[in-house]
Amino acid sequence: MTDAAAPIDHAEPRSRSVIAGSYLDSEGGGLSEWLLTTDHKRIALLYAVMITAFFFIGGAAATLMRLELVSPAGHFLTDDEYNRVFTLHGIIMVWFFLVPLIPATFGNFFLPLMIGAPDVAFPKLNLMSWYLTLIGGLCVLAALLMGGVDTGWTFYPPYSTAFSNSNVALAVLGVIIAGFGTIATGVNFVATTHTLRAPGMTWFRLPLFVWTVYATSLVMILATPVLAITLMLVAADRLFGLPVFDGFRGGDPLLFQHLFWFYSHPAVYIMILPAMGVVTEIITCFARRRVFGYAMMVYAVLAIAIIGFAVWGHHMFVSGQSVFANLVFSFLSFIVAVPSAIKVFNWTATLYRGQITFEAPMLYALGFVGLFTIGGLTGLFLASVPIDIQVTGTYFVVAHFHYVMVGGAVSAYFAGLHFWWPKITGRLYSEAWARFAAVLMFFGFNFTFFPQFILGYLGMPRRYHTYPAEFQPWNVMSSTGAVVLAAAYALPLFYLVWSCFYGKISPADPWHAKGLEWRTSSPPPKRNFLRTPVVTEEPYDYHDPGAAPQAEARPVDAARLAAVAPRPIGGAHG
Amino acid sequence: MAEAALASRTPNALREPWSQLSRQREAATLGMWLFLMSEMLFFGALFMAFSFSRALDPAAFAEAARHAEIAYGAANTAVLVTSSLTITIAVRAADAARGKLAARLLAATATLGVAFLVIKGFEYRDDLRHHLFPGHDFALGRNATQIFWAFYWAMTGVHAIHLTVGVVLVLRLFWLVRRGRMSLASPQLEVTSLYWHLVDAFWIVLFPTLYVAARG
Amino acid sequence: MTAKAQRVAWLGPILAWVVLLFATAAVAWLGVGASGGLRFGGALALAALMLGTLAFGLVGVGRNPALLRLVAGAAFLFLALMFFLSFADLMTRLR
Repeated sequence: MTDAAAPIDHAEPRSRSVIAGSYLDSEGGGLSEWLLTTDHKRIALLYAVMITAFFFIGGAAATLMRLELVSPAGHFLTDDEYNRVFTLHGIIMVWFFLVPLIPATFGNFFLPLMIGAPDVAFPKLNLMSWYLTLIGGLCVLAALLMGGVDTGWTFYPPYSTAFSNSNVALAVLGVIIAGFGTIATGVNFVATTHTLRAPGMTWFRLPLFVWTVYATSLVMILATPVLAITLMLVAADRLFGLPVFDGFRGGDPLLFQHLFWFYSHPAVYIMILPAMGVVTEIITCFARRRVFGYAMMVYAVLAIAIIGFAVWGHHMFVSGQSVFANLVFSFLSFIVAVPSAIKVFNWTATLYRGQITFEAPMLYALGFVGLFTIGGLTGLFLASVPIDIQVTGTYFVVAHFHYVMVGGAVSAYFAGLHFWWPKITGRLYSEAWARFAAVLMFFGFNFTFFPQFILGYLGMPRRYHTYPAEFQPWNVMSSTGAVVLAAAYALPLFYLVWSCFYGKISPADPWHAKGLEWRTSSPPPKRNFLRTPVVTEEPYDYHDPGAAPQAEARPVDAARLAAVAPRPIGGAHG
Repeated sequence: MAEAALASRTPNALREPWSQLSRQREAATLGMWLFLMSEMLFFGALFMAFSFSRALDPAAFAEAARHAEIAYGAANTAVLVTSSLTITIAVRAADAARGKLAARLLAATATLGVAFLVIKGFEYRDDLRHHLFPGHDFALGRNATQIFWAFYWAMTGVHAIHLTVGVVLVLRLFWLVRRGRMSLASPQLEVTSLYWHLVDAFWIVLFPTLYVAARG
Repeated sequence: MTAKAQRVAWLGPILAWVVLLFATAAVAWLGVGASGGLRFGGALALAALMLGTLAFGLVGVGRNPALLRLVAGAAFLFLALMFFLSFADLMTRLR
């Protein structure tokens, strides 16, 4: 009763190669076939390569920062250089890594598969999105090569408009162009979800990953244009002298902050919502349980997306906003935590009485739940105005957002990467190495960022590279943790790439999971399914509704464990 | 008769991943509306910023706004509204398989768009002659009058860029329809007209707001 | 399409266009003729009228499926949020 009853569509029988007959083989392997593809799966891989490259660049900046912060007096960067380094780190990591991280890779690859479609609604537009992101990234890199930007990733005027002697216009232009790519992706995904669902795939049969990508796409469409126009006004001031935010001429710098954070707060929901979707897919699979409270999970996702547009002022509590506005935004920020909390409770309830196994995706997903909870709770501290007045602009805030963005979204990315690796590549990765990397990442992450909560509470400001000597032990701890974290990020690069050449060949459904993506071959054929699927099951149909399954041996265990460790498992059937 | 023959000769509008043209049109229309939604936030944020800035110093904005030439603004509004009419009828003509009429109306739309830009060009020239560009030789002083004019140049400039893109898109459609290279049933016609109407909508709000209401 | 239906299809847009031209003239008149609250309120009211006429008379939003009207409405909702909360700050600052 446990296994999927739905048949699996196999592409042509595997001959010599894992990829023969699949999307990896269908158009030829030349560079121009890849760069002109309109296949959503190939575009997803193009994004993955781009994002990885940007991650290394942003990570290099982080490395420089943590190296510099080992000693209280700046020992190899000047003030100005440090400003440029943390600005680069922020710009690259926010717009060219975190925003596209899950939607552009797993969203692109799996949205059509999960709804039973052959591709997205506008395949050419999909490719255009990738190019827009790439061009934007190249503009930012050009700005870097020309000396960088020193305004912080937030570009606050009047410094960015009137005083900074750095390449502000070029950098904001890059972000604007990338933003158009994001909007195009959002339009594509929403239209796809509305119009290309397979017969029988009703809205409330969709996997939660699809719901989160859908909500994320709505946020992308509504929020990103506001960023675009705001940065355009900054560029207009830099290039043409148009003084919209100039306090000396009767403008208001706080207006910039209202506009900027109107986008940038929903932007963090763009980063976290798809991560939540990935985690739901994985927790249900590796606990062998239906998700607890599917409908509430859907409403929570939509609530986060909508209420998330109303909380931006919590970034401006000490900027000169009125007390009344502070109270309103504080209140709304408390409210927006409620749907997130509901999701954490529901994941926990999903795990309850589950038949949990700890493969690497599950380790990352469980790590997400813990780290996101810490990040989210500290967000609540920051939503409280009195606390925020104490810790705003300190490392407390830095720790908070790294817990949710890195501990949260990046963990979820790695979870999805491992979960879906067999589907994308047709290969199995080394489970032992993967589990090691997951645990190492969890420890390295906490080692890096937990001391920063303490540093912030003690008063160390962010964006400073010199600090009082009494803060040094915490900084050294954080920098040491960063080394461990870097190792944990590098490891998957090795064993995943190794698996592409030498890994065991994966069956179509190595995890015995639910979801239409597992009902086609690994890797999938170019048009995803040989026949359009017809959906009759509810999502996460791992057991009868209301049933709490007893412990039973899963047929997959024997095969999986035999693949990585030669000891036979006694008592297994099937 | 010639229309029907033309329509039957033009290539199939169906594209990947669609199996039915009606579904494709639905998706294209939805996609364009979603894009319009983003554009509404784009221009809407500009209006919010303008209103916010005006609330900081209504008197300076009133003084600055009095230098905006209503005649130019009204003429441009009339031109643009007419172009919205012509493109609406062009799309309906295409739906009724009247390709030649559709082509003519598309040409009229593009012409009106260019007319707008020409009139705007004259207006910009006058504005510059009167030193109404913010900077050290600005005519009205170093105060919020410069903020008003910053918004004027930014908003009309952004609008003009959008309009130029629209003109190019409409000209492309005109050329394709005229040559019979595009099916009259293609979603592109309606989708382009939606974009055109959006550009018109932005101007329809801009003219009363900047040229008139701001005068106080 | 019948000839009558074809004529009706042109009439709606032409009527909307006429309304828009009159409204434009009214706005221009307010700009030169009126002053104060009448000018401010009148201009904004005419802007809303013109937007509605464009949307319903030329774009034909009223004939659209519910989904598209929801999309159009959603943009206004979030814009309203942006206006409202930003002005909540501005209007309650201590001078």
